[in-house]
Amino acid sequence: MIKLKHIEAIRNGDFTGLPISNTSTAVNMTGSWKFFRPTLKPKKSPCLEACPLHILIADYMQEFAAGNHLNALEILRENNPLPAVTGRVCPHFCQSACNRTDFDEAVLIGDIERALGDLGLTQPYSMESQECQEKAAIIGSGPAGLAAAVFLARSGVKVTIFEQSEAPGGLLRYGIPAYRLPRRILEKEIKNIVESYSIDLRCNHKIKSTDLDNLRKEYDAVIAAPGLTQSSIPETWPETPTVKGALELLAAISRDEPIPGQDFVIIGGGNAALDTARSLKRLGKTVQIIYRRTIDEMPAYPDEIIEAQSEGLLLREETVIEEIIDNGRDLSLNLHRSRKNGDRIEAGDFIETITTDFLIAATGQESSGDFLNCNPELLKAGDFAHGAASVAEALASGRKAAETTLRKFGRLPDDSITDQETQNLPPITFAALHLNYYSKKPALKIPQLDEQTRSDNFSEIHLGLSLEQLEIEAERCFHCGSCTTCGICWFFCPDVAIAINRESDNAESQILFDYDHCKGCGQCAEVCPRGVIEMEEDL
Amino acid sequence: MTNNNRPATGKNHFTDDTNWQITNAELMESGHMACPGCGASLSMRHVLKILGPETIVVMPACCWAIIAGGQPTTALSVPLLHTPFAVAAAAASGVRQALTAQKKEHIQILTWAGDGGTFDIGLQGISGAAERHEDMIYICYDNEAYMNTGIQQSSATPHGAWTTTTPGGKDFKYSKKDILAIIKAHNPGYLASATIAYPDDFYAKIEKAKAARGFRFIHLLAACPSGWKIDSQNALEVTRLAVESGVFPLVEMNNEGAIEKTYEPENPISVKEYLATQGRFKKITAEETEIWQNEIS
Repeated sequence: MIKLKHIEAIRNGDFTGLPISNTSTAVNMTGSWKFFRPTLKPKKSPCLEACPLHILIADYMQEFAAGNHLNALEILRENNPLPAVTGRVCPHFCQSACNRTDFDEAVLIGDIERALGDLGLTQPYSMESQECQEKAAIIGSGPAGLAAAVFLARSGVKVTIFEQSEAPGGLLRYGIPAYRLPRRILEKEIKNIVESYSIDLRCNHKIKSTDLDNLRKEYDAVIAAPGLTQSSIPETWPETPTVKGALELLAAISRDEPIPGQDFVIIGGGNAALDTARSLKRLGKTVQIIYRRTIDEMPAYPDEIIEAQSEGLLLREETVIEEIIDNGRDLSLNLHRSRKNGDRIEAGDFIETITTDFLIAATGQESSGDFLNCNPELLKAGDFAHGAASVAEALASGRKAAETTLRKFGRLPDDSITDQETQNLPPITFAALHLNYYSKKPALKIPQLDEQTRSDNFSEIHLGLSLEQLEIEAERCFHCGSCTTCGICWFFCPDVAIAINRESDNAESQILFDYDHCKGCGQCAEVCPRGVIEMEEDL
Repeated sequence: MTNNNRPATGKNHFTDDTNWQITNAELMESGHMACPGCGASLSMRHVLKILGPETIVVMPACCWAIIAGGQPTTALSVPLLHTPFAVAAAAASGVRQALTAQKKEHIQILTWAGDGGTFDIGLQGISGAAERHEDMIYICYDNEAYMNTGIQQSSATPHGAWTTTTPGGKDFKYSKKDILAIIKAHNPGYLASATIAYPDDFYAKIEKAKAARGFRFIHLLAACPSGWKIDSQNALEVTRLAVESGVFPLVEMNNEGAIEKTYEPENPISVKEYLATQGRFKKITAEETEIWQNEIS
């Protein structure tokens, strides 16, 4: 029973003898109840896993969405020396692997990369360490050569690139048509690299077999990345001026050389076949592609096939040339329906005989610098090392060669690659994400030049969006496996045992678990959209 | 960690749709006596975040009478008055009158009771307070049984559910009392059902209740891991599925006095799926599940 004297005592702050609580329950160490404790376990996003360059996509998306474009560019460039190029020509393995595909549509990673790359054309590349004594020579200035140069120069190595053509870029310049990769973008990006790292770029400088020993004496390391610059023409085809390789033709178109002839037949189903056909069509030629399997089986990137078809390119699937008759001025081709015989493809029923001015082989590539092949100790990179592959794979191979070289110089610890820490993280699947608090949102639509406007010129087809517009797209990223300090764990903690410190630079201390009071219920792990929180046994 | 040491986006929200602000100030403290995964403690934490420090909590015997901590400790940074089981609404009315006499109308009264103290034992007091339009927010956190005393059946326990007093499952003759209809008959100032598994809906409704005057009633579904026989980490998800299956619809009384849904599941799940998540519905038969499904649709 509370009496008047008690009220008097309360007014004086004296609660003695009264049923009143004025101590916080925080004195109870309820953390001792738990059997499991939440911990932060960052994981590898599927985009990063799919990317040959292991770009920290989930991380730069975070920066990009927040409007910190330059920070995002810096993260992107850590692993990708040519973002404006790859943003356009990479098949974007990352996008195919995106977890958002299982939810609604993949995030347009490629378009964001492209916009960041364009932003970077005027931003010098950053150095990681001071200049050192070592010198390296790189043969070839294609994607692999450039990547090797960037990763070496970034560590202070003095780099010289020898390029046999009149301008740098290799396949990027002479193999990829300008409607996919505008020349000014390529030139600006290469110029930026060369200037940022003071690279000694020597064009019109072909390395012959006799030069190799001198190079080795003069430089501490030599990397060969000459690429596969020649189309391989099937042996059964006649040796005549009306039979050509696709790469030679693409290079000629790239150099604005006049292209004789009107009718062209291209054999092959890869990107080189489509690039050659679409380029010729833009020059007003009559073109058809002949492919022995179905269109669905073409190794070219699906987007390229769709674009080519919408441009009205004639694709003849399941067709083979059984006989080539050299008429001197032109060629007659006997076309047959293809027929599968086990793994082999044979000629089936006769279709028709067609006449063409030129027959173009786009069935494979080979090296022109065979002397380099004879040198087993030579460090190789790019298509020359691993056969024809994507630009991203060529860049990755260049980087690997640079890292091998740096290790040789003792400037990188043994058996370590620079992004090993991320590489060793476990991958995260769609099933491990908790997306109850996300709603479906389709990807942005990227404008394109229509078929009419692009039919007779080499203007870039994809028009791109502004950085501001693309921020909305970046916000769609789930940041799989990367804590964004979104706060959902904090929100749903019934024990007020999670604190978020967004100011902290150290990821480990951005989310703070109060293990003295956490009862280990595990709800934070169940709500974390990115699957970063895991419960582990509390010992 | 390379993967992670980037500054955050700086946005104070966690879903792509949430645009309301959540205060960092906590009026509920750690170290309270709730079981791991308790839905009632999480609900209290956010209700107090919204109502703010100028709130007096009145509560009868219920889980929270224990959760708040034994003397001399308390989990709340606001005044809390414990009352006997049947009289929370009546005691809260008294506190309200005392505050009015002191011209402290701005102070919110939060009457916070479990389903036992609301559906069964406290019902007459609620009816009286509602009839007098006492200026208070009455929140019933419904964990669907007398959990604190050892999981005995209440009139909020759904049919088919195991409790220690209904070991074979609550008889299907009895359905969960329609508390919203009872309160609606008193013409309250605000009336809604909510759960913290839907934060946007939850925050909007508590904010509305805060802004309204008179007797305001909110029916909260709060998961009880031990009483529902679920793992503590699934408490939130099970609550969410109660809504997605239509077992616990999120509703609100509109200006015309009619009860309408505030959330319609995009891809509703079946009652069967909801029941399968919990051990307390283990003995429910296929026919009973069908009856339940038909009651909803």
